[in-house]
Amino acid sequence: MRTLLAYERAARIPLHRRFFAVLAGVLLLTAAIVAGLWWLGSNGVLARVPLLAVFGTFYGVLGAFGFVWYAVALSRRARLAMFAWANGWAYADLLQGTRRPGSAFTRMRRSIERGVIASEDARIPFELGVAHSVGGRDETATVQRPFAFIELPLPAKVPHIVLRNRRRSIVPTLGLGGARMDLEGHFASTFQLLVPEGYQRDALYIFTPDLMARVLDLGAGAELELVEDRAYVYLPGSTRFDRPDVMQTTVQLAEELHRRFAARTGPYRDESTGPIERPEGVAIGLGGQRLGGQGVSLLAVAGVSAAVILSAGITAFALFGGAILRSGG
Amino acid sequence: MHGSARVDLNDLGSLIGWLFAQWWVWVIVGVVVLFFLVIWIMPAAKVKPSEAYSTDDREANEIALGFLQIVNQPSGPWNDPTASALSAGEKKRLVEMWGVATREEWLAGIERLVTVRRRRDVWVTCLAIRAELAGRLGRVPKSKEWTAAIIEAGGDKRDARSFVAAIEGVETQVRKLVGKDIVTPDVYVRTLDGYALGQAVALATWGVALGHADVPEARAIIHRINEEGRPAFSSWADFGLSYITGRVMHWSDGVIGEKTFDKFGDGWSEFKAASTAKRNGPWASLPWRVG
Repeated sequence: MRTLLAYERAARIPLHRRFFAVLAGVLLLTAAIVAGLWWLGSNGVLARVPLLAVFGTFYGVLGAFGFVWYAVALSRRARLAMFAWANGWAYADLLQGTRRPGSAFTRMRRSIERGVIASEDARIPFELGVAHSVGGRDETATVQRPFAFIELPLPAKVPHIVLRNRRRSIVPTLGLGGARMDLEGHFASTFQLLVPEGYQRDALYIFTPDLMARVLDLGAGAELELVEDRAYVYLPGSTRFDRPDVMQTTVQLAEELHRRFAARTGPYRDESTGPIERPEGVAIGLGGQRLGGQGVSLLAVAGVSAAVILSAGITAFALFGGAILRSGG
Repeated sequence: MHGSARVDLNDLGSLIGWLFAQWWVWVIVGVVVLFFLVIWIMPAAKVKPSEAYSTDDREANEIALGFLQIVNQPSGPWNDPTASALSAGEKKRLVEMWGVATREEWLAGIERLVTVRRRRDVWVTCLAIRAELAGRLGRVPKSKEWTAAIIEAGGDKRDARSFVAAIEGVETQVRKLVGKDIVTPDVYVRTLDGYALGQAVALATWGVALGHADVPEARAIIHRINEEGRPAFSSWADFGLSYITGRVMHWSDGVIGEKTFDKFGDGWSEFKAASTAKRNGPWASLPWRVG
């Protein structure tokens, strides 16, 4: 609680938006609902229309859960902000329109990022946060689970390479073009490389076995992407950056990956293309700049499949259900 | 019996006949016609320059590169390097929006616009392919020819199609709204740098209003932006088309829907004003080639 209050003071959050103001509002609303139900009960209205009591209780419980959800998320972000400021990093509670080049970001029509930390330290330059797909006034949200990310700058532009996790999909990679490269040894069971056609050798130059071993240390729940002059580590949306042990691992990983990627990508040059595919000022040939297409969310595929199967089942039952029931009865 | 009682509501002819017989119907029709006549006859607003600064010398020509951004903000007359029309609130918003609270941040912002130019490698490459193809063919390439050239260079088929459609769609809209006499059929988008360069000139003038620089320094910065940016364009129309298309593509991320142009392409009316001699448009009188 002390951290939360200190955060609100440091961030200069207006009084009416502070935690205790919201809490007071919620308590007032709860009191109003209880008083309303009591008054309706004493007048005998509840006895005649018991549904009112069900509605009142339902919305009360829903509000309580919502408030607990908000309070927990806020306290976690407050801890994260205080940690960032203590280390001299910048913190933004909410960011919109960041236009990160990663494919997971570009496929979302509209996204917001919560709890974003940015370090400008030359030894460990990174940004991290959690991205959410949201809808707008006149557009629906792209189907996309929230995901945590760590963004690292690269010293040079590189071909678009995605290290897909076979065991646990964090960001949609289904539908992305390019060649699928199976890795050697035990990495093959966890990861697969998605590389633009003609850039397979370049991918192996960047993703050395020792780098892969370090990525594997992240556990089974990570994916990686190199695009333009940025590297992204994607982690599940539930990643708790506010926990000291998670943050310590994250910072160590950011430092190590930055060092290793800098060593491998700094001297990288795309020498496979001519001036038409790679005009002046562009480092990578057209074929290597982006894997074609956009990732398709497994969640969306599952949802559409379920809807198709359900509607097919309903249609089949409408057509033949009667006959089946008659023959059974 | 009341007049309206003779109207048979099930008979359209009877209803129309009754309406024609009413004096107030004619008054409404007259007012509407008069309104549209006045709008049609009324001349479009002229571009007003500042009398304190020149409108026809080299300095005016160089600041005219930022016309669309300066007028769209709006931060004052197009030839005013001090952005004198900015209010305190607008200055505060500009500082927040552009992150230019200090002189160093302001200079870095201009540098970023002049060098990085909001470029995306894929778009730069696809437009360079179009320009190269146009040079070979001696005319503006057709959609199919351009798309095929992108695919041949290693681009993704689906992405190539949507990019070509997006650029050509914006071009068509600008040509239709600004006029084919200004954006002639041989003018086409070869780069999207116009947007960043126009913004850089405007940002230089805003720096004077924010107290980061004096007029001579802003003029020197604007001179440099012109020297580095202008050679990529062949005319004011070429630059204006690049600015509008760049703006639409940047803010839409290249995803062009039905309302995208209405949302981000609103600079077309300033483009038209700037290029019309009758409206005192500077682009109509100033030569594209400077000295």
